[in-house]
Amino acid sequence: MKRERILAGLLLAALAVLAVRAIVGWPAHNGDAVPVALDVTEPFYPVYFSSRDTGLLEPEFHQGSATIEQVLADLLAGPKLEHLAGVIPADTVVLGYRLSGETLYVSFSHHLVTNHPGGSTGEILTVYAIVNSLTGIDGVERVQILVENQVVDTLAGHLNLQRALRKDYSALGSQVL
Amino acid sequence: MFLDLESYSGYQTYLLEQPARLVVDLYGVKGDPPPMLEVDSPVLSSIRASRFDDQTLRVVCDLKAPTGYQVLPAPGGGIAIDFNYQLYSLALEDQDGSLLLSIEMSAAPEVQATYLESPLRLVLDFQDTTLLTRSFDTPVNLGPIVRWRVGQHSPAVTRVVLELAEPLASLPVEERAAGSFVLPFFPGTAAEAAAYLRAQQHAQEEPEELGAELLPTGEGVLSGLVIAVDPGHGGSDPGTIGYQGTFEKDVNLAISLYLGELLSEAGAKVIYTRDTDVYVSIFQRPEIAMEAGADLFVSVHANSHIERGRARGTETLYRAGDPASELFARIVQEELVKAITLIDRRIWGREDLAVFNGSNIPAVLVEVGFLDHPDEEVLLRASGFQKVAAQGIFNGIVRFCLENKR
Repeated sequence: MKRERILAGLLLAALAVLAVRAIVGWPAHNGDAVPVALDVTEPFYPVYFSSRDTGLLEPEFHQGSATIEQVLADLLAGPKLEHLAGVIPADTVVLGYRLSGETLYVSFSHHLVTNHPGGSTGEILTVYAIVNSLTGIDGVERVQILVENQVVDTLAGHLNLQRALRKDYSALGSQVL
Repeated sequence: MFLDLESYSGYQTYLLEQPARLVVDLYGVKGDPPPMLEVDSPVLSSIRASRFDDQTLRVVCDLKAPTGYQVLPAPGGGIAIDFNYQLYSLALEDQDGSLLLSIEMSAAPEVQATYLESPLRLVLDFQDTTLLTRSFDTPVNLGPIVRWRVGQHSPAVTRVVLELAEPLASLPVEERAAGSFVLPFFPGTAAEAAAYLRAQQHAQEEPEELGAELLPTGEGVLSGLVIAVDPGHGGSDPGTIGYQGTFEKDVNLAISLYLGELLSEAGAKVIYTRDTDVYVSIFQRPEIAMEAGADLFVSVHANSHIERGRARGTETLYRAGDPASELFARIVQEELVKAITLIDRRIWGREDLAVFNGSNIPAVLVEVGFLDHPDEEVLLRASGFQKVAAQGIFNGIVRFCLENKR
């Protein structure tokens, strides 16, 4: 007898949940697919992250005006889309930046180097996520990465960072992992 | 073989030679003997039955060679006889640097491998097998194998014990021809061999043989050439670090030294940018090569993705905008992937790599595999794999030189 009562209670609870869901709507099963209202008059700008599907860079489009502060903040905050992964090593902060002509000098904390996993692939992904994202801003053609306000030879032992870099789209694509 | 009998009071078996046959006398069996049966089996050729006397039925199993057997009276009546497979011969061989055990046997062996320490040894148990050669126990000097013993361990198990100076693991048995099999060895531990097999399966390539194919190089095929070998990172710069704590700089140096040995043997003059664990700036490295008058520049690295463990495979970077470097990269990548059978990621022209600065010779940077991937780290640590990788890069260098008439 007691068992039947428990069963009836469970059934009622399930029905209540269904009723609430029918009114409120089911949650989107995929975070990417939540429909939102888009204001098409606001411009989009790309921020580059590492794609978990291809292992290469992929742009995530953010809406608003692309300022240097905003793009740097977006890079440090990491991607919103689930299939993308951040490219800036943990604890890295931006110490400052300066635009000189068309070259943007950005100084990162030492964590950019000391917390980086290394590898030429890893280094190219981090450096060109930064460079490609920032050269999407009007007036920025080249980016010189500084560490602790100084010019460095390299980030992880492969790329020459003694000079400013232009955007490179060869790190984007459909390469299979 | 199963003898379906309604009833019997007893049995006796005799294994006879010349010709090899097993005689089974079944007592208390009445009725006519069944006709002779030709058998298509690796062990038996025919089964004959005749009446020995009015109480005894004699069954003769003609064997292709004498072998062990087990008589199992079935609970529901009748008698089952399990014959062992016959192991005709065993030989250890070194084929172009790859060790293998060649096996002549009536059917594909089922081998159970056990790795034991102190002393280090690999035990191979051939299941349901009778050894037809004599047992032996002899010292050998073949790669890491210092002694091997072969014997019939139990009525159904033939045991091969290899005493080792360094770890060695067995790979799956392959059939070469009818009745002829090989059991290749992997120069490393069982875990390393398993990772090797997984990596190969992942690359979806059937390994034709273990190790790199040897090109018909001959002595002096590279004589007169100066080749710069650049082991990436070093000293205070460990490069990337694997899950097990493997430093990239150590892997790069080991592969580079093996590569340098091969190049020297082929007559090339080898210039190392470092040959010990020291820090050398990435801007100094091309300078060292240019000052020595190098004809080719090969930088050896192991890779990492920004998301650790995300990627795997081999890629070769080259100086962008230089057709000779691109061709060099294409050939080195092809030969290296053929040798180590990891995923063929790509060749990639880059103008921003510091080691390509200020030189105009064909220059490549080889990323052998991903040290941040657990499977590939196990491989990159293994000296056997490092040698095969060096052989693959060497083959690429030789092919590039031959195809371009130097």
